[in-house]
Amino acid sequence: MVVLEGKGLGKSYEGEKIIENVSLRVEKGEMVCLLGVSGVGKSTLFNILSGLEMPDEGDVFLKGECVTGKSGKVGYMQQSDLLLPFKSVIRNVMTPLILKKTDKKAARREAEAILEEFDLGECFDMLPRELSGGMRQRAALARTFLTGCDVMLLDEPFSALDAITRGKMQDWFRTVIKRHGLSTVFITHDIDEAILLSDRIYVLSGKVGCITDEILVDISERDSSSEDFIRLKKEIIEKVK
Amino acid sequence: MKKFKSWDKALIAIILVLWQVVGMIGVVPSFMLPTPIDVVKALFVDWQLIGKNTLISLYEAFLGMGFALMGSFIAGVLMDRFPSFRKAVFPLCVVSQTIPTIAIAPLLVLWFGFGVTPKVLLVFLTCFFPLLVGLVSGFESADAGILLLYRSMGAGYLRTLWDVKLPYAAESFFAGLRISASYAVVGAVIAEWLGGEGGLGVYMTRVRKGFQFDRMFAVIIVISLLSLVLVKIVDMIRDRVMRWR
Repeated sequence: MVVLEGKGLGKSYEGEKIIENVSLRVEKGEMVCLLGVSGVGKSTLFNILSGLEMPDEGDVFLKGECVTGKSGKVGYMQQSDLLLPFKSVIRNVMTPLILKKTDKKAARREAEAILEEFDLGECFDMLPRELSGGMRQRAALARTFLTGCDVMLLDEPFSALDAITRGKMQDWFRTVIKRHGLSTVFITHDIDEAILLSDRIYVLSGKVGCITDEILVDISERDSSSEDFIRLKKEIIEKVK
Repeated sequence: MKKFKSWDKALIAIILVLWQVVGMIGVVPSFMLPTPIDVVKALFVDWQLIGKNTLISLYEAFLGMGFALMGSFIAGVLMDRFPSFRKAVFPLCVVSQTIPTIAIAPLLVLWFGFGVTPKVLLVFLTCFFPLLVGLVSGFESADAGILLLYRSMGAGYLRTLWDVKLPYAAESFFAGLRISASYAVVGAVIAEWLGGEGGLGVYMTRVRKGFQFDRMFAVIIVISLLSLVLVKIVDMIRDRVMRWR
């Protein structure tokens, strides 16, 4: 079942085309990656998918309903964690529920549960600055989870982390997403990360960003040293060139 | 001998001692420059009258500051919400700051008489701008990513204002409030100089005409202390509100 679909999306800024005729779909429970070099229009595409910007051409559909230009329909996590520095971790995580007018006590219970699941049970009342980079990213992800949306858009969710924390987070992230059966689209320009995490990869390239390839990640082992992994990586490098 | 913890306190003490010595040896006649001891004596002798006038000036200062707080908040939010309103009004606010308050005060008395109104208005005009600038620049300092995030979660303007913009503006708002607090009493006193029924400014004018400079210095000290106390209160409120600092 297709959960999120973008059809023929195009956008220009001051007469300059950024993306053109981009069509993509996300199936239920699928992890889809948007892979492309910097400046190819990935974030513009995300802003359109999340309803923050109106496309010049095309439409976005969520479970068949047109949601073009309507924000709040999908969960959106940007590159940095964007935790409010003056709110405790739990109050940050509760934010989407409070915005939906959920009762405060119920919101706190839900936030506590998700933080426990994300190994942040000790950090409820801490301020974001007291957390490590990985913990902050997990808290931000917990907040995105609580938007309760069927689809999550993640814009380079691990790019701000060091290599070791990043590796740990990637493993943990895939397990959690699969456990919850969530549909996600994430942006990366790291081919390894794309293969490790996604079920399908869209390659976005060209002077004006458009989808040039769609690659199914059908490998048995998600191990960067396995033969399948290396073969797929070479294939993607060729396509990205 | 008492040890001073910091140089600023030591410097104040040295100035006071020098001032006392200069007065005692008669370098400057005592009616022109009363010694610190004379000033303290005057403060004690006339404390009832000074106290009564202090309350009047404080009332005007608080009222003016209160209106400035409300006015700057409303104007700040409108400027943030409607950029065209900001474009139209903000330059006018900047220009208004180039006009010295001492020059406006006689006009206010002329227009509104000798009652409380011109005093409150002058305090309002003095305090409004620092508060407005603090708020507007504070709203601008809100993290663009977080604002985008709130939009993506479907948050409206008021929720974003409450959750994001106001906390981000707190630091510069309190900086503006500190300046306003230090101006408020002085503003009220300046307005009172031009006439009225009470207040430290009226008292100052009266004692000046009677060449009672010890009492005048006593009032100057009271004004300084009041301003310092107000600034301290603002700091305490800021520390309580901005616990994340």
